[in-house]
Formats: sequence, structure tokens, C-alpha cells
Amino acid sequence: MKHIRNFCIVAHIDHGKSTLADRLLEVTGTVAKRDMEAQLLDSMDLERERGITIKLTPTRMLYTYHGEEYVLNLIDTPGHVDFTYEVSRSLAACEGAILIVDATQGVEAQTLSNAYLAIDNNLEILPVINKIDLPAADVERVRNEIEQVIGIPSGLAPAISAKNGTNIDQVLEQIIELLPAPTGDENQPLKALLFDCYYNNFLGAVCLVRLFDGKVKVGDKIKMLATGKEFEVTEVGFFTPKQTPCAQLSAGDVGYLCASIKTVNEIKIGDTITLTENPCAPLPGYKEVLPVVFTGIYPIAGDKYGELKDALDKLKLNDASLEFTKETSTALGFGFRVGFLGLLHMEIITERLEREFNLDIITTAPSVNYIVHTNDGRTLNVSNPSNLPKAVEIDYYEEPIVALKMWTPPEYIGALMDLATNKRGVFIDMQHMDGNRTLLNFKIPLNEIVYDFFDRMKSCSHGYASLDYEPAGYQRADLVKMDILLNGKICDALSLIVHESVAYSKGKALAERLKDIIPRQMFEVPIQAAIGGKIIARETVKALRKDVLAKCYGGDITRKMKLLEKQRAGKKKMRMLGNVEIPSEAFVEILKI
Amino acid sequence: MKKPLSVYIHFPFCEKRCGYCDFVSCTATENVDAYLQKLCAEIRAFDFSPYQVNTIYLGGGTPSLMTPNQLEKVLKCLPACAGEVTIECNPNSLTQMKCAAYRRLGINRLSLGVQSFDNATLRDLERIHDLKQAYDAIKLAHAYFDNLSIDLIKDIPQHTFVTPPPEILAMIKHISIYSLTKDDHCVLDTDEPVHLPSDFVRYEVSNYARAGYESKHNLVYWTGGEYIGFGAGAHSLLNNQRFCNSNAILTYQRELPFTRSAEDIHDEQIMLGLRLRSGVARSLLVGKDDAIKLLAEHGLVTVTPTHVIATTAGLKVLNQIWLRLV
Repeated sequence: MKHIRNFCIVAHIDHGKSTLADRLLEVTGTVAKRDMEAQLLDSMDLERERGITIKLTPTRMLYTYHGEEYVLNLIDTPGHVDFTYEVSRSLAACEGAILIVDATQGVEAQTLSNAYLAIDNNLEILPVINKIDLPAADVERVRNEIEQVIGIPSGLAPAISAKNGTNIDQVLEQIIELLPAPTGDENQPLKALLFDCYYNNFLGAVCLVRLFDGKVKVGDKIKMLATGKEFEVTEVGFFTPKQTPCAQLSAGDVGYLCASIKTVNEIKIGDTITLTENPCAPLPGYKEVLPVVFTGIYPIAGDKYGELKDALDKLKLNDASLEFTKETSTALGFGFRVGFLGLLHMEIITERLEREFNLDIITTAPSVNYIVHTNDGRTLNVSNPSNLPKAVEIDYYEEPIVALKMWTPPEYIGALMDLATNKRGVFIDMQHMDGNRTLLNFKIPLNEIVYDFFDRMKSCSHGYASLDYEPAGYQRADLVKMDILLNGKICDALSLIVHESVAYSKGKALAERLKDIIPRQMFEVPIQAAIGGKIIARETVKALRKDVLAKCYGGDITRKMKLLEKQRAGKKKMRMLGNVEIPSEAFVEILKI
Repeated sequence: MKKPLSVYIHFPFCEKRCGYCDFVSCTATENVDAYLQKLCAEIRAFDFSPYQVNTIYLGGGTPSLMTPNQLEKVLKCLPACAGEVTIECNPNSLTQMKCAAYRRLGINRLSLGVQSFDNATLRDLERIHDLKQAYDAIKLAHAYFDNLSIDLIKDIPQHTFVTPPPEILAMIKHISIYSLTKDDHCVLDTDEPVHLPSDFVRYEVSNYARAGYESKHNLVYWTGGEYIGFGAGAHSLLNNQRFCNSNAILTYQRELPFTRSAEDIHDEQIMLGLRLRSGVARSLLVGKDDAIKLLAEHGLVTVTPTHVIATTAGLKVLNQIWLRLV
């Protein structure tokens, strides 16, 4: 066991995590350089077919150091703020973490939040300074920043270029020298952490596990402590990165096991796996992550509801944070209200539904969870505006607030201040960090940052600012429900909860935006925005003046039919709301106002 | 009992190519003889024995560029036709001698490519004839042919449609008026109104005729009848297969046929029926009552016990109506 190292790589987005992972695979000879691209691409295709995230499976690498062979298990983590929970999932399977810092950018918001997560999980942190090949690289400044801002020693931190393969050996040596070997006892009862999972059509659920104690082999009867389900192990192994079966996994190992697990609800990510005969005490498990952004997801074709449910079930397998419940919309029919960790998480899931499961879906306006207090003293949690009680019954609303941290070079402070205060942010304080960087602290309503805050922050700081946020409770707010009427009928899927102060301008902008998005059709379509029955804005999509094939001579009917078929294909991407055809992207597009 | 058949013959040569024309055409008139030889061989190779030829249409290009002798050679390859025989003519190349020859060869309908009754429009369309030639050609054709049709173009940017004057209308039985298109789409999104005397009935989106003078040949296309096309780029529908010749003038070949599925036939019937004054049989529109009702409420169709018929307003947005009814 002293020849095993289990580690992950954490970094701010774009600091070079995947590139370093690729170099480690290459330098250890796990993947030959000439096969690098081909192999990884192949496995990506495979992953797509199986419907799992496009990320690396935990990969076993062999490295000889001072004449002894070491097993290095690299456990991949996602890099975005939305996926903090997934990072912590991976961290629980490791003893150490490589923290990559970009030599040109220095410490960023997620460098810090990921470093803190690793410290919280009692991991040894090995800082690595990447991108030294770039002209703007300033290794010494970044070294200082790591010591001062994060507070970990960085004197020995390898300065590398993952892109060019410079000093990768130093990283491998330090992994062995500085990161601790796993501790555990293979003679104790089996105690394994189920830290990820994906679905394979032939094997069922493939469980990614980290063994803390004991061992497991084919034929063992295992038990999931949280769900209480029992299975017989059909295969164990590890990834090289190809799925490679082996005889057994023992304490300290990272690998996978299959046990003919066919349905999603039989397992829970974060669960402890043990032997039925000789059970262990459960591992602490993960902090439950709560979704903060909610949206309705509907199939464009009503008969695809079953397929959508199936797809969501499969996605939930390796994405424990995904939550969904059935929902019905008068405009869109049967669908789901789905909870996400953030807008990026939402984009990834919707894209996977479309790409991997080939579903055409409509996503309604993202919302957050509001607490609604009614006049008769009830308290309701509402994340779907359609579920609000009547306006007259509502006493007051409370909305979720987050503590927002933005890191920026000082020249963009003004622009970011404007951005946050326009979004109802309340300025808390400002800290000047080393290395020409400032940290801005705000409290801001979550619903103001779920739509496009990240994009706007990037554009008003020329891409230099970064952000991180965490929930900071609820706060009373003057909110109203805004309805959109198409052709005089309320379209429930377009309803929004907005702050009273911006309701009027938002309604006007929304009606204008819809007018641009909804194509002209056979009939005139009035678009109205209303608050509590009062119309605050009106626009009209004029009727099509002409849409006809001018002539049909010479007997070339096929060509005419092809033109019509093209129109028909375009129409399939539209959703009928009453008599109005709406492009499916309209539901999210309207939020970008 | 022989099956009815219509015959289309394509003559692709022109003195000048028109920018708006999307039929196969060229100006290399030195190839006319070689083309006609290939065309005649193609016609002679076709087995007409199961068919009764009901209509013949000589289209182009400019078929009136053919000399009477050339035309006679082509028509001699075909079995006798008792019905409508049409030739398309350009106003500038129609002569008295040609008119007499056409009559002698059994042609009984002339379609003149007048295109406009406004000289500025003719100029901008880069037509090689002017208004005076158009008038002369119509008068000449009228002297020889009772069944006379003219083609006109409307919805041209910066031009207003000019209605044919009464003395012209008195000489003709049929008018085709179509919107200017480029790459299969109308150039303008507006639809100029057309005001013709009420005895010209709009029996198809772009076609107006006095009673009994509707184009029999075109109605075969629009009602699903069988037709065979000869020459470069010509289209056919036989035995439920649609096929066409390739476009290469001297080396054209029949391309692979496309067999229509029941759904294809259904969709075509609705598309074509909507274009006609006779409308779409309701038997084709099973389960579409809600859509029909909505369209009727908005004045886009009228509904009879047996048919759904597009109104004047509906004819402008037929594609949209089709999308709701298929």
C-alpha cells in the first residue's frame, strides 16, 4: 500500500488541468504519445455512447522511482464553480491534490475555493505553477501569491509547462515524495466509497470506488449501506484509461466494480459499499448538495415524455446533484422541474439530453427557490412561478441571497461594481490582494446572477475577473409575478418572478425580445406582459405577408416538395402554444435581457 | 383501353438567357441540330403503345426558335394527339410563317412570353423584346389561334405590375402571372394585387383563364395525372415514379426514379390541391378539423361539404396552410 498514491488535480478553469493530466498519462507511458489523441478521442466517443460525462475516468498510472514501482491513481475533477460538490466527491477518494496555478494569471477565485475544499478534506496539497512557456509568466510572483493568499508553502512547487512537457517528472516525483500513501487495513471488513458511477448497457451501473479497508473480488456479496440493497460482484478492475478487469481490489485501491445493478434508485453516489457477511461502519458520506437553479424541461414532441424521463434517470446515475420532479404546464404539457447547481450545470445537462439522448427539448426560464408567506400564515417553497398562490393571498416573499466574491485587476473594479449594484447587489467590502488583484465581496440575490451574470462579468472585465459564490440565506424582497400573454392567453411557461423595481422595464424588454424571436406566422400575434392582470407592455408580431411557391410549371413537383419539407423540418423545432409557434430556444433567450 | 398521357418536350435554346428563368437553357444555337437528333431518338425509344396522348407542351428555352422543318421532325416522332398542343413563343421571334406552320402541324395553343406591359420593366428584366413587339405578336397570334395565353411577371422590385389593357385582354383566353423568384423564393415579401375582368377566373395560384380555357396540360401536373418529359431537364411522372433527365444539353440522361410513398402522394395532393380553385378533397384531411376551423376563422380558407379551398388571402400564405394540414 505504501506504493500507492491517490490524487486529483484541482485548478481554476483554464489553468491547464486537462493538459497536465494528458502529460502525466504520457510521461508514465500509460498512453503512448502517438496514441494520445486517438485513444482519448476513442474513449470520448465510447463515453458518449454510454451516456456519461465527458471527463476522464480515474486512471491508474505506473511510475518507477528510485527503482521501485508506484501506482498513481489520478481522479479527475470538474473545474467550474457549479461543480464544487463533484470536486468534493472526488476529493474524498484521495490523499492528495495537485493545485495548478497559471503562471500568467495567478490565484483565481476557484483556485482558492478548490484549495480550501482540499484542505477541508484533509488532503495534502502539492502546488504546481503551469504555463511557464508563456511570455507573461511570472513564476516568482505566483509563488508569493500562493504562500500569501492561500497560505501553503510553495518554495518547492514545480514550475512546468504542461503544454510543452517541461518538468513533468518533477511533478511525478513530488507526488511520490510529498503526497501520503493511503492508510487502511485489507484484513478489516470491506469499506469502499462509491464516488461516481455511469451506466453501461451490458454491465449495468459501473461503480467507481475507493477502498479504505478490506478487499473485494468477483462473486463477493456486497451491500450498499445507505440504500440497503445487496448485489453480487460480477467484475472488478481499474482504468488504464481503458476499463481493465483484475482479480481483486484491496485497501488503498481506486477502481470500479460491476454487480448487475440495473436501476438507478438502487444506488446512491457517496454511499459506503461493504460485504453482506461482514459489514463495516459507514463512511461519513458527502454533504448533501442542494440545487439552487430550477427550470422546466419538456420534450418538444409530447410523446417523448417517457424517453426524457429515462434519460434524466440515467444522467442522475453519475450526477447525484440532479433533481427532478414531474410537472405539468398548460402550455407545454408533461415535463419535469429540474434542479441544478448553477446555470452551467443546467446548460451541460440540457446539452447532454440533446446530444447523447437525441431529444429535442424546451427549457423554460430558470428560477430559484422562493419562500412565499401567505396572508393566512402559511409558508410555501416555490420554484415554479406557475405554482404561486394568487397575488392577493401573498403577504411577502423571501428570496435566496448569495455571498459573491469577484477577483479582478483594479482597473475593472468600477465596471464590476456597476454590474453588481445594477443586479441589486450590496457591496460588503474590498480587499487588495498581492499581485495587482482585488477581491470584491457582495451580497446579491441569487436570481440576479443565475441568468447571464458570469458572461457579463467576463465581458466587462475583458475576461480577467473570476467569481465564486455560496448561499447566504434568505431575505425579504419586493417581488412580483410577471405573466406573458400570447394571443391574449397567459403562457405559463414564460411566467417569471421579478423584482418590483425592474418589473416595468423588464416586461417591456421581454415583449420586445419575444417579438424578435417569434417568427411571423399566418396570423398577427399580440404579445403582452402583465403584472397581476394589468398589462404593462404590448408588442405585435405582424402576420406573414407572403409565403407561397410562386409557380409550379414544368412538372418538377419534387423540387417544390423539397422546399416545403425544409419548411416542415424547421417547424418541427417549434412548439405550438395555442395557435402560436414558438422556437424552442425562445424560453431561455428571453432571459438575456 | 389506353391510359391518358401528357407529353412535355423541352427545347433549351434561347437568343439570350433571362436572369429570372430557372429552366434548363443555353444560347449555343450551333448545337440545335445535335440536340434535336438526340431528342427525337429519345422520343422514338419510348413505348407509347399503352397510352393515349391527350396533351403536348413544347416548352423551353424558346421553342419558337425552331424552324418549321425542325419542329415537324420532332412532332412526327409522337403519336397523334387529339387534345391541347401548346408551344411557348417569344414575341420577337414569332412570324406569320411560323404561325401558319404551327397550325398546319396541329398546334392549337400559343403561350407568349410577354412578361410585362411596361417598357421599363421589360428593359430591367433584360428582355430582348419591347412593348410594341409584344402587341404585334399578340395580334398576329390572335389571327391564327383562338386559344392564346400570355405569361406575365409581377412583384418585381422598383416596378409596379401593369394590368394588360382591354384590347389585349379581348384577344387572349389565358394569363399566367407569377411572382419574380430567385433560387426558388419570391424576391419580394409583398404580393401585388391583380385586377382582371371577372371572366378571367383564377383557377390556380398564378393562372387565370376564361371558362373552358384552363391549361389542360398544366392541370395534368396539378391533379396527379401521368406525363412524360423529353429533353434536357424534363420531368416525368409514370407508374407512381417521378424521374427527370439531367441538365446537360447534349449528354442528358434519365436519372434514377423516385417512387412515391403513400405519404408523399398525400402531401403532394394537399400542396397541389391548395393551389387550385377546386381545392383539396376533405377526405384527404382526416383529423385536421381543428386546423381547418382555425384557418377558416381567419379567412384563409373556405370550407364546402366536400372541399377546403384557399381564399385570396390564403393563396398568399399557402406554404403555411400546407404545414398545418399535413
